[in-house]
Amino acid sequence: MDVSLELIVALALTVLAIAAAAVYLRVFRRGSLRRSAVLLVGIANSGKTVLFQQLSRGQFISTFTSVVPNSGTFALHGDKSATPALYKVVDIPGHDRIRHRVLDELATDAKGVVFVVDSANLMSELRTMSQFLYDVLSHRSLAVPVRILCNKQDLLTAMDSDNVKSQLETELNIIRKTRIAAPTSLDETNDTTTRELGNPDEPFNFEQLGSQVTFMEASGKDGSHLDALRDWIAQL
Amino acid sequence: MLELVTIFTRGGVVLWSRQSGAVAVSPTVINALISSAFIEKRAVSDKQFVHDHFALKWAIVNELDLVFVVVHQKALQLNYVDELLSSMATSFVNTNGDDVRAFAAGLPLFKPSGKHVVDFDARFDTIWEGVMQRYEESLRIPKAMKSFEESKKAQKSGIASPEPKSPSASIVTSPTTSQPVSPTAASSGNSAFAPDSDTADRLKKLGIQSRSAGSASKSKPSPSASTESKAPPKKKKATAWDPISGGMMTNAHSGPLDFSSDKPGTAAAAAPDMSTYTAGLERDSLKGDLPDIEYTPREQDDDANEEETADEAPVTSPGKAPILATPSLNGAAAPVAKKAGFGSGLLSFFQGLSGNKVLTAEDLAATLEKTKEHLINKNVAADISEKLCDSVRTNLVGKTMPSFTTITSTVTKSLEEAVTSILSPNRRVDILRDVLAKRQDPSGRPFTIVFCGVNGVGKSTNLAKICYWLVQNDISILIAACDTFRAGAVEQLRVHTRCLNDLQRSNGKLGPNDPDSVMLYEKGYGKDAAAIAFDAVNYGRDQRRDVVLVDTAGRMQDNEPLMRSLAKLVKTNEPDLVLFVGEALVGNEAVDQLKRFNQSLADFSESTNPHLIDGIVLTKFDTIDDKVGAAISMTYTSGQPIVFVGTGQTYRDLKKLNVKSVVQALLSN
Repeated sequence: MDVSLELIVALALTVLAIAAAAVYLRVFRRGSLRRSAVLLVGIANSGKTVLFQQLSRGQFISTFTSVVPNSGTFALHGDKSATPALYKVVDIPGHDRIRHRVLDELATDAKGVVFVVDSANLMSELRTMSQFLYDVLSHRSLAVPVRILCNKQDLLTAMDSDNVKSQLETELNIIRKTRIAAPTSLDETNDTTTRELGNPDEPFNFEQLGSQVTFMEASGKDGSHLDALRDWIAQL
Repeated sequence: MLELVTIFTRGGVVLWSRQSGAVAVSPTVINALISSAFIEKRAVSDKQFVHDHFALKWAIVNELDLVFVVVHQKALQLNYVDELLSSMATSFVNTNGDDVRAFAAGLPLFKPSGKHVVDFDARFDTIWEGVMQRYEESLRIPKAMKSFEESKKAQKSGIASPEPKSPSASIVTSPTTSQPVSPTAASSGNSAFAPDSDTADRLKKLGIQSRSAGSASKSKPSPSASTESKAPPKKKKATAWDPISGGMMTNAHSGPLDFSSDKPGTAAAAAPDMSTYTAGLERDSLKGDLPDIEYTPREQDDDANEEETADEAPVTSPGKAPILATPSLNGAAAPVAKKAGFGSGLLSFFQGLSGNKVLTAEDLAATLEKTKEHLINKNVAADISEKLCDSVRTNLVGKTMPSFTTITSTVTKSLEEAVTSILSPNRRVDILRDVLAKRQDPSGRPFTIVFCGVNGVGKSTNLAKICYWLVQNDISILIAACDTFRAGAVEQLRVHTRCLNDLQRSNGKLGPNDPDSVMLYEKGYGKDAAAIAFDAVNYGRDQRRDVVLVDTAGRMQDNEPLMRSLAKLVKTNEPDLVLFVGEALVGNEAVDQLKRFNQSLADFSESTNPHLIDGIVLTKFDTIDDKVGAAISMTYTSGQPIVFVGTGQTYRDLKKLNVKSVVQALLSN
């Protein structure tokens, strides 16, 4: 008696669970067809988490190195309209060991990328950040608009965006050469960076990428010039 | 006494902090802790992290993704830090859990200017006073330590932690068992699957169990009771296994594999069955029959575990199966209706499905044990497998399982993340870029790479491959033959040099009158390697070479004189890169090799800032199929990236590591 009853209940529930799973997966799949997220990327200590807080709450909150992404779907702070649109924003940890993994996971869902640059500390980190920028720009599933945000403009030593741009162009030009020359990867099929960047016959500049990459200056600390970022996110 | 106390999320957002030392603690101290303990998964065991002159202790609350850190001077031995952390964690989670979740969900939680996101000041003061008071009391009483512990225990049993013994570790669990947190989640999603009678039954069990799980006694509010009821049965299950696996070996069944087919058919019979063999035993026999750990079988097995929980409850409670009842902690459990047990099992099964299940250490134990063996089978060094599994446990205990996942898949996901982070380079790796940068260097010093490693791993062979790769990219090279010991070492390099130059000429890249792309600097045998390397670098500068590759003699890591000479070579020549060459075939030995090489470079260099190993060349990768464990062992031990992978005998067989494919190979069956 008990046995058969339990069996029936178990079977019924299993069927139910499978049905639920099917529905769930369908909904999930459909959802992922449209790219929805704005990604905040950059190397460690460039101010991504602070910017994330500025976008969601309009406040400066001090931070440490992120271990997991911060993500949220919210109306951008400072949006004055009556029915503010909701945006999904993900702040990807910048630590060397994490950023590539998380970026690969989320790349297919990205509709725009904000590449955050520490403009006050540009020269010492230039090679590292350019390498990551190269990875982002040449990422197979990241053919989306990229906004390079020259952060930390509140500091005296911060470079302006034109300066940052030319430094990045010079460095990307070298990296493009060394990347082509790098030994091939163990398993080509798993390589995420396969797109060519710009025109290999002439020195790299961002204009070669069309209007994909744009620059702006801002400061996450005092929240200045973030309106421009909000507008950019809104028009994606 | 304390320099800094801070509470932040794993996302990096500081929720509360208090600076009490005179000198501000730089964020780099905390960032170093985060990088080392949470990202690179080191130092998870001893729970104390030292950076500069600070010592850091921390506690993690997984279900809220919170980290509590206390920073104090390294010189101080503060016995009360653990207690402070656990009290803080308990208080914070109880009072601010909802705030934190709202914050994490992106809801605005406006912090008053000049203050912290969460107002914790007053409560921290109270906790601090309490802790200090108890601490001073413990100092006054002669038998200080004993009474201190007792008072701590007395204090804790009222709050949360079941075991006052392992302080920080218990924090990881304590707030999770006592958490008032998932009730909200439970009340939203759980209600469908948690009939009231069920809860009542489980509560009854709890009442008796509260002896072993002190946390349960705290279950005043009804929603939190329902969550706690989730944890203890799990606990019960696990504690029941261990004692029996010792006692019931003779009863070994040939049927453990059948039990999945048993389960639907003869559930009633399955219950006593379950009692005669244990989950532990069953797992062993499963392993014997299926030598490799399959994903799908594991998941089935896991589902079965869930069912097992279902069946376990009736077994223990009616006392029908004395074998199980006697050794288990739950021997005293009151008779509970069988139906309730069945229901609770289904409940836990559906909790798994609906994403309400909070993971406990006991849930994970069996899966982690299997995972560990799987890793060892993949040639990961044994203690590193252990550490990896520990870090997965620390990461998962207290987490709510996502919807439609099993414990196995959750563990696999977490392991995959851990391994990916370990294999991902901790810094930029682009030798070509660095060589180009060095060209601009006004000193004219060539970019110097030293290859070291034990005998016969392929130092010279892979040096030649790297040489070929650099030559292809129009970089001029000088090879320094500093293996002055092994017969034929110099001649081997001479042949490589000739071959590479011939290749260049036949490719038309080099005119007949151009200088060779590759030069060899040799001084015969028996000389001092450090001196030869020094001369070679100078010679390379005069010849305007871009890169000097220094080949050294192979040496065993415990040969002190040879290790001293390597340290001397590295110290006198200040190379840009010290590459450790290791073969992918190596198992447990990998850890020892790297540790000793690093240690020797540190100890024998007699400098305060010694040049350690910067990168790894993993050789013979073509011989290991999917047993890629050495890659993990080496990167974990050294913290350094794998720069090149040698995959064969020709010059072209040089690759760079693809983290994804290695992780896939590691996790595959």
